[in-house]
Amino acid sequence: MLSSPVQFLRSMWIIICFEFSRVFLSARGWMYLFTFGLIWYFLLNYVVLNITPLVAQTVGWPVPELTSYWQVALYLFPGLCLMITANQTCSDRSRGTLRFLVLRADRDSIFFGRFIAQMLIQLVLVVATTATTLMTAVMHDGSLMGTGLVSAAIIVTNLFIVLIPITAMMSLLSLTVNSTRQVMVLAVLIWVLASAIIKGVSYYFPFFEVFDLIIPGRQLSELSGLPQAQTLSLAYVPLLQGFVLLLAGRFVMQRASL
Amino acid sequence: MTGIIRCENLSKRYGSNLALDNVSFELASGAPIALVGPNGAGKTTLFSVLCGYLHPSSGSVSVLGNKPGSSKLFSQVSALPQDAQLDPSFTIHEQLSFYARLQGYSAKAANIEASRVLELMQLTDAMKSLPKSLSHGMLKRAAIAQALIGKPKLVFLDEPTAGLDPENARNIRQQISSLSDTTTFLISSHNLQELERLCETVLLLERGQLQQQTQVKVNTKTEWDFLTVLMNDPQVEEVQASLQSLASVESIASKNKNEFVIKYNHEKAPDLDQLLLKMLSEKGWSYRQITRGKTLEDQLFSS
Repeated sequence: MLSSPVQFLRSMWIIICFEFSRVFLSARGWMYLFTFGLIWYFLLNYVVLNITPLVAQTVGWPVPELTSYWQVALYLFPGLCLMITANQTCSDRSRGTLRFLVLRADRDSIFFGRFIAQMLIQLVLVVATTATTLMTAVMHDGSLMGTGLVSAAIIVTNLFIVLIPITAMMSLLSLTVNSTRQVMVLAVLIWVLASAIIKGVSYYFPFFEVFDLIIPGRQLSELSGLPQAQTLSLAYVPLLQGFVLLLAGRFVMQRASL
Repeated sequence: MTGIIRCENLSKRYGSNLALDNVSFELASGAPIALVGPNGAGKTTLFSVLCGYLHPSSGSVSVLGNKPGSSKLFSQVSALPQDAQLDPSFTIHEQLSFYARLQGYSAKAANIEASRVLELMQLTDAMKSLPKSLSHGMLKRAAIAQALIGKPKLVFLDEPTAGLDPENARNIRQQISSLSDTTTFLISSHNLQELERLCETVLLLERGQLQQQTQVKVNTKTEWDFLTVLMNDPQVEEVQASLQSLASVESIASKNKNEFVIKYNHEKAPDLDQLLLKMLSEKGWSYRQITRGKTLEDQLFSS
């Protein structure tokens, strides 16, 4: 059921643009963005900047504000990802809207188009929050602009990679249940239960610890303690997880009854 | 007339429930085709398999020579799926433009095409409305409009006029009729009168099995033919006796108080309809309708 590569890419591009317009060109989307902006304003001023002196001493990245932003964002965005990427296909499937789509675009275009759209939407949020933090840092000390831009680029790249497997997991879960809430509950359950089971079993059978690698986000605690230059050394973990989860999602999408 | 749908030993199972049981048929392009059957007969399941929403448990299906869901069918096959709803976040015009874009239209042409099909469904005034602000009937018409984007070769319509007011139902029948020169429609409906007017071929599904594949149009080549007479005044015995006296009448069946089905030898009395009209005029009896052949309901369900 594969379409030609050109048709596949064209359909995917149209789906990505449509999903983008859902967030950036609709009244409801603007309301969400405004709310996010408001929350981010308070987080930046009352959390990120407040913990900056403390975090800067422990991790020691070149720009203190970006260091504390990194520590907050590393947990903020995965949590946010659970909420904003949960509804990739579940509502459309339960409503029957996907039936209109699959008559015009192959299932791969829909699945990957929506995944990429969610990744790009999150990238916009990551870039926006990183940029505002960098601006705050530069306002305090103008000489930090150069090193700040490098740090910001590393942070954005890292966060983008961290979000790949979590978004892919939500793509997969979104295909299996009928509502956004169910997707989020299932994601948390899998996260908590899988971590607990793997920890429990590996207590008696240490080799079982290797399965810890399958849990999206398992590298976060390790990542938060690394020097800036080494952060990308763990990128293989989320990239591999993302690849496997997307393959699984594609498998489910191809066989799903709509 | 070329083959458009071919099913061979098609079965679809949901757990222990067999929704389609070894269904085989072949349909040619042309006049609209009806799919009828009681609730739970497997009509929607058959539609879903033909559209590629469901994968068959066994057997083979081909639509326009391709597997259902194949990208080669994009823009050629369209559907009004039962109970499928549009996205509540976008106006109906935005959504139909999006679908047209996926079918290969440029952004500008997609807008024009979306407007065209919405106009066909008399929804020009509601183009900029979100689905939540439209009535059930308007949403149904918007969903039918999406099925007409790009002038597809084959359109599946699952209960297209269910829940519509008579005027809009008539408009949809007119649109189907006017488009049927270029598009083949497969229509599932419980409204047999509607199907009788629109369709030439009828598929009857019961408990997942294909019971009949029949032609609605009158077959003039057979020896026996039928006339269905609907009278205004119910004078059952007198009317029945007079009809029986007409030449070459084999039997009269009284369906209701004022409706009779006359079975007669068409070869011996090819002009029985004219004799009937003359008799009614002489007796001064008022009739409402005389139909050549049996009604679709009688064809399908009378023993």
